[in-house]
Amino acid sequence: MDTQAIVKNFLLSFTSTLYQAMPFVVVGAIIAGILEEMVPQRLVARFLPKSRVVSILIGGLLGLVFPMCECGIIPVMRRLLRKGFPLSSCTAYLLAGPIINPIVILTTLAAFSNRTSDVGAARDVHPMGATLMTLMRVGLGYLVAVGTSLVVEWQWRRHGTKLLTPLAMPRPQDADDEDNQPRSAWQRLSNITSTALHDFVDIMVFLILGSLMVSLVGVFFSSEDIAQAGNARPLFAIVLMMGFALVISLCSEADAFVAANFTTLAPAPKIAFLVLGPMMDIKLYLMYTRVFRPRLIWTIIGVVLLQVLIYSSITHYVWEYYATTVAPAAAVTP
Amino acid sequence: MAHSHDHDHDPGAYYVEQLCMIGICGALGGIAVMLYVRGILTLLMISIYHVPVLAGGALLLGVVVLRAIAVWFAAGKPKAEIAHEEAYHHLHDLGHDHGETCDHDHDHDHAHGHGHDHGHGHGHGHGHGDGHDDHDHAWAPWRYVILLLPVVLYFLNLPSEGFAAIGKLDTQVDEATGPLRDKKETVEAGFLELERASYTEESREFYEGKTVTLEGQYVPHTTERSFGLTRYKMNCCAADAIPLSAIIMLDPQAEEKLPQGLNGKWVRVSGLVQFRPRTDRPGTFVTVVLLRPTKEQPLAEMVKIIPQPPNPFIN
Repeated sequence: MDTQAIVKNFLLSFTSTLYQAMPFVVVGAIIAGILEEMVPQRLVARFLPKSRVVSILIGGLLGLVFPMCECGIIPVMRRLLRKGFPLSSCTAYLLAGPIINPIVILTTLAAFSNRTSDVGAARDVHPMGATLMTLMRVGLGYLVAVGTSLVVEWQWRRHGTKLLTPLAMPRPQDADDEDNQPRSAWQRLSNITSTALHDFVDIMVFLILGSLMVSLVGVFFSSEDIAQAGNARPLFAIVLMMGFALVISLCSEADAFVAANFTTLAPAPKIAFLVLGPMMDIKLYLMYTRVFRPRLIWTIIGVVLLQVLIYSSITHYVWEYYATTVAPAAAVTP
Repeated sequence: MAHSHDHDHDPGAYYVEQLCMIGICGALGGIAVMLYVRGILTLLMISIYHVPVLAGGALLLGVVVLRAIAVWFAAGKPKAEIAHEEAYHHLHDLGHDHGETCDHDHDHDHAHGHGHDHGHGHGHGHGHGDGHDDHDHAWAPWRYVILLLPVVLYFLNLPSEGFAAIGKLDTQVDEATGPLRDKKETVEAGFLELERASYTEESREFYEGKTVTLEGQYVPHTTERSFGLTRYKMNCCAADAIPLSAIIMLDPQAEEKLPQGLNGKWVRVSGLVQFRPRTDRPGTFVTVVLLRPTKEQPLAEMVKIIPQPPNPFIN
């Protein structure tokens, strides 16, 4: 009886993760198909800023204009790379896009804004207001994305296309001549559907695998276990929440609601969870393997983890200092 | 930079791949639409995502139809045109490892038959085609096994209900009843409101002694004269659902005993709201719903087994 219930819960969790992400993958795959067919490579080269740092800085903000969640962004990014977009600015878009976009900013605000009533439940932590929480998420997310992209740029200069899977490699210049040959609208449509379905299937395999693993983890872990373990030691709680983000693999639209439920935790561990989750987790790792070679994936993982840990620890100390010394009133009306 | 690969691929493999892809994408798109039509999405995610899932499924079906038409006509094309198309697409393939397993031994007989004929008709080594760019393990059968998993689950009618509440509620509550209040009025409140009601003095005062009705799943609690009621709150999708629980206690003076064997069953409970000190977290209160059976209203009236509500979640 119990085993049956566990299996059913697991399947429900798996199915919901899968079908919620699917429409975003469909849209991502179709955009990928259109990009592949309609955007000439020469056009890309013309629009790119000369400075790589500038293009990284812009890449990190691209989500504001082209909002994509972390599942849909992968096929799009792979085609952008093929069109000759620099790897480092694509990485900035990949990492920051799922955080710095209007939808996620709004859901984060919403998740934390009705939380004032919970203050009584946990007197010894200094809660952070919804606006500041969202600003911290966006700010640190941008910082981590830009920092990681700079490291990726350095790696790119050393190793070049060895970092990418074949499908993500930039095409040689003369492929563009082929592109410029006139094709009928029907031929173009046929090519778009071909690329879209190919990318959809390619990403879906890994989305399914990722959702399976994540749901399996969900059977054994609950957010309450984490909250209880992390209550006493805030720095340990940061590490714990980072681990939780990696295994639970929630969508960036949903994770703020889960984080907001950790009423007894200090703000910094929640920020760590909110910044890390959209950038890296089990589901994303599997999907990243369709774009990046292991060396690059592990570089990104290492740099992202380290930055999130450092930035959220600093946030914790600054916030505690501010809340206890500078503005004790901040704890009541943040 | 023309392509220079001459492997011994099954000539029909290109069409087999295309048809498999069309088949699986069509199935997934169709399932997304059916989940919406049959209302199963209510179990999976909050309502604002229902239309996106429907639209995503419909969009996917649209692409599948276009692709199917394209493949149908491509199959009847003269050789030269296909060669051109192939050359175009192979320029995209530069840099991949052709040596790796492109083992196209699928058991898709229908698809294979179709593709095979055409492949031979053209007498053309047409193993690779558009959309099939990265060859490292691209079409190995294990991928189909994975892709078919959601399809199989759908036809097994899984999932068909909400989460089953498992486990046990172990919130430690002061067993002393304290002063009993009955305001003789009812209040509309859910799990979330009741839980939050315990946080402040004012809200405790407001709710205390009012009668509330709750629907949830039965879970055991620490004593025999109490049990827990659990309902999952979904924030976005079922994967992020969090169980919310209330403690239901039988009045110590009552002679009746709580019904047994209800674990995991859906029940409707009505009783008086009380707030009691938590013994495992001093200084905080926990909400308790007290059952006080009388002659007019026996216990069986207060705890009733019900079918699972259409929406088992709290949104």
